[in-house]
Amino acid sequence: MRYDTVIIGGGLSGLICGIELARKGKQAAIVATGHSTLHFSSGSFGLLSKDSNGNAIDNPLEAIKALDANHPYSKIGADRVAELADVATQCLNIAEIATNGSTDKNHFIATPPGTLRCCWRSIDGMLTSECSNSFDFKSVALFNFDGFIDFYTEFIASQLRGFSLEVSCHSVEIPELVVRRDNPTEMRSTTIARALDKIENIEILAKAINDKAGEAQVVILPAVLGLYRKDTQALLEKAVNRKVLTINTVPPSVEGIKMERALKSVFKAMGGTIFTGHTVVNHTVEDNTITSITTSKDVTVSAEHFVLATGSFIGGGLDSTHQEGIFEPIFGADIEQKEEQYTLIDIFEAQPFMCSGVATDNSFKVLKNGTAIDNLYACGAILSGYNPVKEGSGAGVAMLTAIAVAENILNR
Amino acid sequence: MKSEYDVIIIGGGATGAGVARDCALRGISALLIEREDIATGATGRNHGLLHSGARYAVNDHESAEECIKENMILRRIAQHCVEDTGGIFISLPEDGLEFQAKFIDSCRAAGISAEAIDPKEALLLEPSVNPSLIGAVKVPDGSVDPFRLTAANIMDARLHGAKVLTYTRVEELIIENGRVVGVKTLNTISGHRDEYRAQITVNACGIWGRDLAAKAGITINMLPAKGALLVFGHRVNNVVINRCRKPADADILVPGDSITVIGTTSSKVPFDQCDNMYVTREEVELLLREGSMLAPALNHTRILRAYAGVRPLVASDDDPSGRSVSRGIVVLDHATRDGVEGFITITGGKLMTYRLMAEWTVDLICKKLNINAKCTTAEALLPGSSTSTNNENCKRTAVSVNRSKASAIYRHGTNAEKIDHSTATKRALVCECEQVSVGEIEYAVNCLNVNNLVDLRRRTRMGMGTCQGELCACRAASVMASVGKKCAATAKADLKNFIAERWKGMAPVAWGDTLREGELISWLYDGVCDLSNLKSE
Repeated sequence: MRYDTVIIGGGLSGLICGIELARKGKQAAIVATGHSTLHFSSGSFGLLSKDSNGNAIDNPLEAIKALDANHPYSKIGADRVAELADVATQCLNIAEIATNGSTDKNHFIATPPGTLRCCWRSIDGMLTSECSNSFDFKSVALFNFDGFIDFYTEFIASQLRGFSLEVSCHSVEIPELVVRRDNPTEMRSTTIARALDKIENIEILAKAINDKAGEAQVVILPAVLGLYRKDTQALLEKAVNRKVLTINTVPPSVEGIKMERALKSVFKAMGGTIFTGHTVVNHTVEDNTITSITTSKDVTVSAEHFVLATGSFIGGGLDSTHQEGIFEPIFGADIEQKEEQYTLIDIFEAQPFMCSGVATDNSFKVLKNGTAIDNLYACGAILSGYNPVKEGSGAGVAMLTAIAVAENILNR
Repeated sequence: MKSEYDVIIIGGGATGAGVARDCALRGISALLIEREDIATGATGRNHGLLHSGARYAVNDHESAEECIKENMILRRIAQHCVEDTGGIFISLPEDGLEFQAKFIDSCRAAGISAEAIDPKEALLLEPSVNPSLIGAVKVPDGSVDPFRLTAANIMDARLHGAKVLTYTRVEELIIENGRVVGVKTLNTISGHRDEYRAQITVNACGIWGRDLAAKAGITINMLPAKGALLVFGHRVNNVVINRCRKPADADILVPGDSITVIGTTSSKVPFDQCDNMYVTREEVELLLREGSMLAPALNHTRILRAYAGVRPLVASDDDPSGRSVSRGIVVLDHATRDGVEGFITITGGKLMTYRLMAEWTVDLICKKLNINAKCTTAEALLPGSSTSTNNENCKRTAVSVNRSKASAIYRHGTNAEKIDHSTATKRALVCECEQVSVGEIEYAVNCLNVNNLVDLRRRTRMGMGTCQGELCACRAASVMASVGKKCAATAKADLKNFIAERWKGMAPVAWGDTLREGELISWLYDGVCDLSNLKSE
């Protein structure tokens, strides 16, 4: 099998890179293990959300100018970030993932424990605010599903009351879920979302809201409104005659799962191929060029270009052993910021391992033994030089470096 | 002058809890004061090995005898805290078989059943054992959960009228006319200061007992000996594996609940480090190297975390150099030793002998108070233990339809009846690794004196499994908030604390899957949940 480009990794970065190449007419294939970290998505995207003191950044474009030369955004060029951010937004639009936000001004999204966290774009319909401590409404009715313990009503209510909102808390019972709950591990976000794909359950929910929400201006629910259905929220809003907003749950993230599905289907619709359940186990090299890769299912794929978008440790793009420390398992690429002591004892400090990743040149070509491999690029969480958690830049770097890599490949 | 209590016990480890229980059973009014939660010191930081005493048989006949007696007692009085895994002492080619003969003789002399078995039989008995073994001896080792054991003693003490204060620090001993007559305390949660009086004050503070004694102007020559251990991600072995040689570092591998523990190292540490034990790289290397000699599978088994405790070793009074160290039980009557009345120190010993240590202490208390009451702690069952034939319920069952209920019975014995599993909500699992339900958490919060998530972990194992609290911590925090034990803001601060505490044990062994888990925890709690931005109150 031969493609123009083979992307290893089917997470946010790999999918965006694939879409960008496919929509410019390239034959692209994605080889993925099938465990995307999109399932841990917060429902929002950060471009650059926090400064080094942990304070919210108002204008990410300004703040990006001050980043180190080794930061992925600096490799893209701070002056090109706005343009690539627009392309990323277009990709989301093409996949019909409706988001809001602007690139020169961050906004805030409610987190699972109810605090407000700075972000660049957020999925439509989630509880967000332009500022960090108030909302443009006064009263909310907070609903949870009976027995669902991944949505923290108490935390959220107390936090929202701190923002001077009037909050009432309610519980809804969906009869279909009562049976499911007999298995104590069944009551997870995806199970509820699947139940809410059914119109009769949406009606039950709407009735409960109408019965209990009183005069509340806004209804807040966990972000589990349908796994496949897209109009659940709109149907609910119509039936309860007020704004319905959601707050993300802890994983699995229903919004993330939907996002993954949407991106995959648009990539396929553009002619892209996805090999799911394949791990790359071997590759061939000629003249400093990767010629083919072989997967765990014994499929060999050759291509002009390869993209390494396998993520960081969670995704399996980076691994570590007691003896060798941090390494990149497929190509044995050079690792940057490989401190001998890569963990700190305080989890909430900036952990050195978070900044580790493969070394690349400024066009994101992967370095091995100090030399750039001519047709191997890296994008997303596998890159070194930034701390996605402390900066709130994970999704931004994933998407923008994916687009930069796609452009670099297209420009050859 | 009538004191408020007959006895004040300082220290909520196994020993202090045992003393409180023994006092209460003998009708002596007792107050136990612990600066943190129960079992936070050395009690909760060891193998959890139910010693047969075999390890001590050759060098310390007395300790060996004490161990096997207490072993048999604990199997009876604390069924739900003990697992009868059995143990083997293996000889490897480099050890030779010389030690084995002496070992078996010494065991038998101490009353410990010790049966030499064929290496092939040892491999059948415990398939994970190093296949190059040349000899093996079967002994009645087991595993014991020190948290559960301490909690059961505390519970029984309270049932019999003792009072227990956790998160209460003793700031001062009240001394009048050369006699300790009470304590001045500070509640570290509320900031409230108090004063309690008793005829006798017992120092059961482990290594921290040196500082307490110093408050009465008394010197106890203690030597803090750090012991580091590693927890592996699953039960590698089902039988305790020991090395049949002179006791050395990292030569005991103990299965407990869903995990396996290797330990320990032994190194002297300064007193100022006793409150902050970190496991070093060198200790991890040593534990892995030696551990894989017992069970080679450890080389490729995920390590969940590393932890360390401090043994309170006491130097003999007549040896100021501190070289002659006793690992036996040390009861110091400061009236005869130092001329300070009303003050007793109980230290040395080991988790296995906590009950005997308590018995000796309370015998001395009775003598001083002129009370004629016999010790019954060796016969009276601890709450959760039972004599009925229903006992099999308390044992681990491999397959069960209702796993959370089975886990609860396993952890709480007959007390599991008090857990409300009547509705689907109560049965919902908070911790999937360790099968802890909403009902069990509510029970722990309401009945087992839980103040925070770390306390909850000690009572239920919540967050002690493979994911190290990654998903369950948040759920448990919200259950605690909804039970009304905590306001949402403190529950969140508590959550942050719990996550930080879990990572502390993961950081020294963070490679492979454990680093992966660490990154995920960071993403979830620092990223998605934004906890680092949580302003502490």
